[in-house]
Amino acid sequence: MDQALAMDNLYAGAVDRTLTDEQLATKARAGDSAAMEELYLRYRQPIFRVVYRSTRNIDEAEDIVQDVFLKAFERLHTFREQSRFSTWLMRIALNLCTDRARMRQRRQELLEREADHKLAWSHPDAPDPIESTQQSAFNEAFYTALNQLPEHHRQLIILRDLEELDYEEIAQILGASVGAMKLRVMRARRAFKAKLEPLLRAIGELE
Amino acid sequence: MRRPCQEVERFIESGAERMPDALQAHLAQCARCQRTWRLETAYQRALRATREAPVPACDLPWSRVQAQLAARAVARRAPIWQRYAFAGSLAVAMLAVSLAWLARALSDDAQPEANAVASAPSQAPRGEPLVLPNSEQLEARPPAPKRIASVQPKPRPTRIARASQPPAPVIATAPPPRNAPPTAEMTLYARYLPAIRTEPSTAGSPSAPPIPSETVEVPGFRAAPEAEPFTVASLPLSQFELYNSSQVEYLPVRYGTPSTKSYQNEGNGNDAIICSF
Repeated sequence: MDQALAMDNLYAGAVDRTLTDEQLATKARAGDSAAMEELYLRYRQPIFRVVYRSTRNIDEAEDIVQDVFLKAFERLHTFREQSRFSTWLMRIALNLCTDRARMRQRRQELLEREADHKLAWSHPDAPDPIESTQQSAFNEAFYTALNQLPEHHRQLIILRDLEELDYEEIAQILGASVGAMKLRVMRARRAFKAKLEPLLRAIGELE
Repeated sequence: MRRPCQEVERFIESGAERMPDALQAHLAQCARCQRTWRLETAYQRALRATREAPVPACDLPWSRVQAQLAARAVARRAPIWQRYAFAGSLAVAMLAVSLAWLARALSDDAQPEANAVASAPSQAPRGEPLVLPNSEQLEARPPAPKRIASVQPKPRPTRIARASQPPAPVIATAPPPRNAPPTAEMTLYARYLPAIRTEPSTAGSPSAPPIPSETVEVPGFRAAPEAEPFTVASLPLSQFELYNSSQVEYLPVRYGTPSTKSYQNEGNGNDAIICSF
């Protein structure tokens, strides 16, 4: 992993790194591979972090990240520069996450239908209780509750509370007003706390 | 819900750090607000723990993305060709079918055309005498088609049709086209012969027989003085009650004057020879 990162950093020297995202996007739109690479190296990890928090699966998250950049570079001509490149990229990532979540949900429903006797903790997204330590109990409870949320609530919790994006940026990513975003975040938090409370009680973090 | 409870909830949702004293006093007395507060603090702890938990680094190298980009670029170009391949093959197939149909239709039309050629008037302009080929030219002329020459008259009943019964046939001075297929259904190439072959009389001889009156002057056909009138007739078979080509056999028609060796007197006067089997 580190070797791959080091190799990428070694070869990513063909473009001026002081260029802004939008300048790089303009070059990439003209077919400049070095500009594409620079954009990729800038946003690979931030996109991966958001996607990983949504999927909790490294392989799936990497697949989504690849799809995000493939889609972004193929549709670079549709980037109007009315928003930041990172915002546009994040919107693509969230859309792909939503698509994957739907597919996962359908697959899960089929699996549950086929195996009614399946234990609750063997849910692929659920943490393995044996490997869970007390230190990571919060983590697991958090993600367990997060996975029980609808996708639009989950995205808001990730963007606002985990990635700590400001409301303006979230509003740009999701294409809504700032006021509407604040209201949606509040509702998402309420729903999330309702899911989280029994889990925290179960691990003894809440009396 | 009392008003202070709503204010505590709003305060928590606003994310403000310092709670006003009035709300703190209410929180100390209200069990419901205490529960809400504890849940909020637990949520913040879980959030902090999750935020601080390390996220694995993305191991996806740029080369993989780049290769995928190139592969998809190629894949995007290929369907354009494939999209038109089906339509193209369909068009070619339809064109082939159309050409086959057209060729068949043309071959069906070839017989009427051959009839038209056979019954066409002489190529010689009207008013000019038709110069028949001499013996050398006739020998140099390619022989008649094999199919016609190979057919031998079979000893079967022969029906003689008198030319006087049907209307006068169209006389063609041109031989049947070599490349034209047999048109037995519609025409009969028959020999048109003078009634009596007579040797030219010597000048001044009083006993020289006259030229038989059966020698026919064909309109538009002016034979050379030394040549016997000789041509090929195209006769509509229906006038002889022949409607099937199996009833007709082609006779070995040859062209020439009586002085040529190939000339054979098989006819009789103005009779057209029609054979039925």
